[in-house]
Amino acid sequence: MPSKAIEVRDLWFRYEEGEWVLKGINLDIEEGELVAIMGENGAGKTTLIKHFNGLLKPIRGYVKVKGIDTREASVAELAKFVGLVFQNPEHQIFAETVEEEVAFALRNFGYDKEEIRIRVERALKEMNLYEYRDRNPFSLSGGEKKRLALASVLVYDPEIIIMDEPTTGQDYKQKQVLGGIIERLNAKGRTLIVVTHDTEFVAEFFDDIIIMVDGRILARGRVEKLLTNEAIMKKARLLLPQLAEAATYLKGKVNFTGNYLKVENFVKCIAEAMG
Amino acid sequence: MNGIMRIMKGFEFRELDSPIHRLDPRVKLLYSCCMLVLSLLFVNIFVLMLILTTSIPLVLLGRVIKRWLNMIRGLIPLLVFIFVVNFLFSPNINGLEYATSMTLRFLALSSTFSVVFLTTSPESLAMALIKMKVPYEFTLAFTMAVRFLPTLARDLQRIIDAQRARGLELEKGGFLKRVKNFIPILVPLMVYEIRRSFQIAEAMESRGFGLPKKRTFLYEAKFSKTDYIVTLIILTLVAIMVLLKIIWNIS
Amino acid sequence: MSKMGSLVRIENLCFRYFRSERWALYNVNLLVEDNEFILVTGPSGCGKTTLCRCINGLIPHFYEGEYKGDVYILDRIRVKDHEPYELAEYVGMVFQDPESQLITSSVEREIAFGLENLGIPREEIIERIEWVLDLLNIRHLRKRAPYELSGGEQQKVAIASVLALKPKVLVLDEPTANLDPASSAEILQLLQELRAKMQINIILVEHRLSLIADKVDRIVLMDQGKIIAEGNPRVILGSKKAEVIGIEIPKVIKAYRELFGEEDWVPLNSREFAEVVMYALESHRS
Repeated sequence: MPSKAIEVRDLWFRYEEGEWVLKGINLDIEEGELVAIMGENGAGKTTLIKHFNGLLKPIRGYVKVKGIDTREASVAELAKFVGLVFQNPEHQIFAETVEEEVAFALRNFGYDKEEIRIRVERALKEMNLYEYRDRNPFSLSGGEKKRLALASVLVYDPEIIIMDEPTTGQDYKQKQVLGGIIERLNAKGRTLIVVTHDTEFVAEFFDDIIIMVDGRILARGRVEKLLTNEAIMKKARLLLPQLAEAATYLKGKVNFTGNYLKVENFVKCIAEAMG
Repeated sequence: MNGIMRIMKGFEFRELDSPIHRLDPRVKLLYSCCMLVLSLLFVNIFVLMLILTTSIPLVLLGRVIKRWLNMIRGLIPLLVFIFVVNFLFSPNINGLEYATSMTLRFLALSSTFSVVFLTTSPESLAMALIKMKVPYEFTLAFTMAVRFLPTLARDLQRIIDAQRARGLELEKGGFLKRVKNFIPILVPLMVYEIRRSFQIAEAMESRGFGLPKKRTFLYEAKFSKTDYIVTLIILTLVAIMVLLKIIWNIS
Repeated sequence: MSKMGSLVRIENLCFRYFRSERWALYNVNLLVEDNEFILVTGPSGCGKTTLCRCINGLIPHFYEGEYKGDVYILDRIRVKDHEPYELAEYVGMVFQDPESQLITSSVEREIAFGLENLGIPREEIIERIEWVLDLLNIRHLRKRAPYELSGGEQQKVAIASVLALKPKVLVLDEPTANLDPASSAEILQLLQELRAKMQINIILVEHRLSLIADKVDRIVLMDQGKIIAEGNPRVILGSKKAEVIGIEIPKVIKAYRELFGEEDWVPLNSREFAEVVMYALESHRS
């Protein structure tokens, strides 16, 4: 029986007497799930995920990660099995070499020298950064830095991996690579939570999505149900994926079934209508 | 942390409309400088109380009561500390009086500068300096530093979050370890802000900054009748106090 | 061919950043004429940003390196001979990060900044501020501090403060990269409206082709420092080259190509795609 990776009950949060940023969030994420959390800037997505590794503590309600109440654990303890990759790699790069940068988390967690060496090598190779291992991390390109940030977290193989806006600043090919990484990690049994407002990316790589609006969860469900729902998209200030938009023009003339946000399925539906 | 926030907020400009906000920044600078001089010249408790009370009508008219009160509240631990230290190390027999004086002096100065900063935008202050022949570039450095302070604070928080998420523990360890733990915070911060400063410079040059032409200004500081009157009041007050000191040898 | 000649003329431009081995731009030739809306796109590292910097003078004055060829603004102004601040009244540039462009404590002052630098008389500064606040519909933001604004609002202010200088060319380097989709769409919509309201030439660098392909006159496709194709969006986005170099081809175009094969025409938005499909469905039925 799969246990819950993350359990959130009636979570309320605000910063220092400001407005409430999270207003009564209830959420369950099972182990091994792959889910996208979507919403416009300011909906509370980043604030929510910062509760998953204890960076923020609930003001009301609770958050349990693998059964552990986050109010009773330190960030360092939770970080051991919750890997959180932030949006901007330049907010964390500091080491003299790429290798050192990736090893940082392992050193903090007290791994021994040999283990560190093995894991760093593996992580660098997985992210296609092995050839840069002796280079100054500041000299890497934007896309390479993003892979470095990811490697720095994957190096200790956390069970739960959370990514905050991993597609910003990435071109098409880089996004495809990222999608492949996400699929691979999920296939290995990792729980994957990706915060993003990139509807095209989500339409391609995700089945299950959560939509947040103004500190609350508006909806949770299958990508082809939610991302094609004009009312929900409008309320969430997200853009309908282009194929969903096209489908609204063709309502009645073409029968769209299945996940038609993927090009192959979309084309199939239209081809069938054309006979 | 809360107390420090209160104090800092007590010196942060509030965009409001009030008679004090509308005063020429040079007048407000004059006021604070004069109060500074007076509070250093005198140890007499009544004089110091007087200096403190001059700021009160400014706070009321300037509509910054809440912020000012919060600042005073935040200062209380510090004031207690000053009082105790001065009481213990007072140079004469009447320690109580001396400690009260020093504490009052600190409070009066804090109050004075607080009300000035609360009611004068960094750019107005910069304009005052420009009128006093300080080169524009220097004042720009000042106003930009103020403008980017919250941005810097936010970047710092993001860096701390990212490193803690990788297991960095800032609260633990002996003195040496704690200092070493700041490297993963300071290095990204410095690199990031230096890079940002290049981006800022690019954007500024792309909008004409650096043209050898004579610069014009949207907001000029001009003395109005009110400004002249207030200046007169301030100078008169200073003159009276100084005279009193000389004639009656008030300390 | 307008009487004024070209607005931007790039001739055999090559540029290599200081201490870099590869050419960031190689043999780039581009002619931009009056009142065009041009999209420059390509994979990461193709030279889009470098190209923008060459147009407003940041290259070669702010960025050192090996510079060959020439860039002319309004036919007569040789970019190589002028610092960026001298070109500010001809070429306006909007950057990717909204916050690093806004340096003052209020939107009003921000718009005034460039005008003050140019020594424009106070009365005219006030006029232009009013004009640009209306143009971009940001009157309500007038007294606000940049730090408090959302990313989309910040970019609008950045655009406003550049437009206030009334440049002939507006260059925008990935202005929506840090914005959420709704704000991005707003900004791109804004650019289209600006085009309708005033004689301004826009050069936009953008990844999100599905939001912009139907609004531009011309697409310039770049890869590894070279312009590999340029012309009509319908031709460029349907071409093999575009497919191969790894840009985000809008999904309706992919669907169209699979259903109807390759032609010199592709739909540029979902509505056009739907129209084609509906027409095809009608014909199939008859």
